[in-house]
Amino acid sequence: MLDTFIDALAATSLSQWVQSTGWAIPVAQSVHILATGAVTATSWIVCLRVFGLMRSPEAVSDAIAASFRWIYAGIVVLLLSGALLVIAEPRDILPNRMFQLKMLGLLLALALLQLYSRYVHRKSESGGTSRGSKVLATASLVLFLAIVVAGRWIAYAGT
Amino acid sequence: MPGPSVLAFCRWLEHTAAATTIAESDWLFPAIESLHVIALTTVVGSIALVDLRLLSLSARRIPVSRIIDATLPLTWAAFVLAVISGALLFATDATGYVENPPFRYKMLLIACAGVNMLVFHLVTGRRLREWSTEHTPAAAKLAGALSLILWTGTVVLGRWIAFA
Repeated sequence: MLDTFIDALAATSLSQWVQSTGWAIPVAQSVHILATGAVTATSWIVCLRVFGLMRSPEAVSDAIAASFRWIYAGIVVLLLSGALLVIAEPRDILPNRMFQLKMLGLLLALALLQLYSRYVHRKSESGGTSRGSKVLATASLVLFLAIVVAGRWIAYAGT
Repeated sequence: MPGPSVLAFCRWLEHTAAATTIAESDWLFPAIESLHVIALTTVVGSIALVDLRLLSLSARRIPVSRIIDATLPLTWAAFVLAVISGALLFATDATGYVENPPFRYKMLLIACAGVNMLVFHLVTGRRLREWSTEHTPAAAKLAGALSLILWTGTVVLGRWIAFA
């Protein structure tokens, strides 16, 4: 079934266009890396603030809530640019084990982010530096960094 | 094109124990590349937060000085990691990279971004702590815009190294 889907995707005019346009893939990859910057930098900042290792210019819970907007915006751009990269080379990417692992990590990260958003919202009065916040911030950061690493290894992994 | 002394240095670099170990290993190159991506995305992302504030496009209620104080240690730590990992990747094929146009332009843009930051810290941002919260001076907006353009260019050129 995956093969039928891959063939259909590779036959779309968008896929053909991206493959035949020399600059489309490096541009999409560059956008993908820049959007990764929004997610990784913000995740580091959330983690460092929650652990009190970074001076916060505002209340920690406000800072975290503001950071989530950057993370979500980054993820939207990552999904769009990533989708274009998959459409461009579905035969290489969709069966790739590292890509599949990356998508699994992404689903986990999205679930974790939802959990953390709700947690911060509920705990906003108390500042958000509880043990729960520390666990969620660390888990999100580690997961995002693991997703970045998996993304880099797609080029080296087999199917 | 690079001079003979630069090429001689690059050839020496390629034959150091570190370079040959990385080049001959199946996993070291992608592992160092992964560290480089983590470091550079953290550098660019944390700098962009300051740039967007300088352009008054985000966090307008927070003084610029407090955003810089908070993010600068993270930016520097990630920059050091990016330089070390980048130098190790460079060493594996120094003669190839030094003649690769996107790589050369990437180094030039990083140098320009450094000069832009230096001018901001020494001239434009000297009275940073006296700025009103709402508005940033035009020179600060220019520094923010230049920084965003230069770092975006650095990422694009870095990605282009593999395609050149």
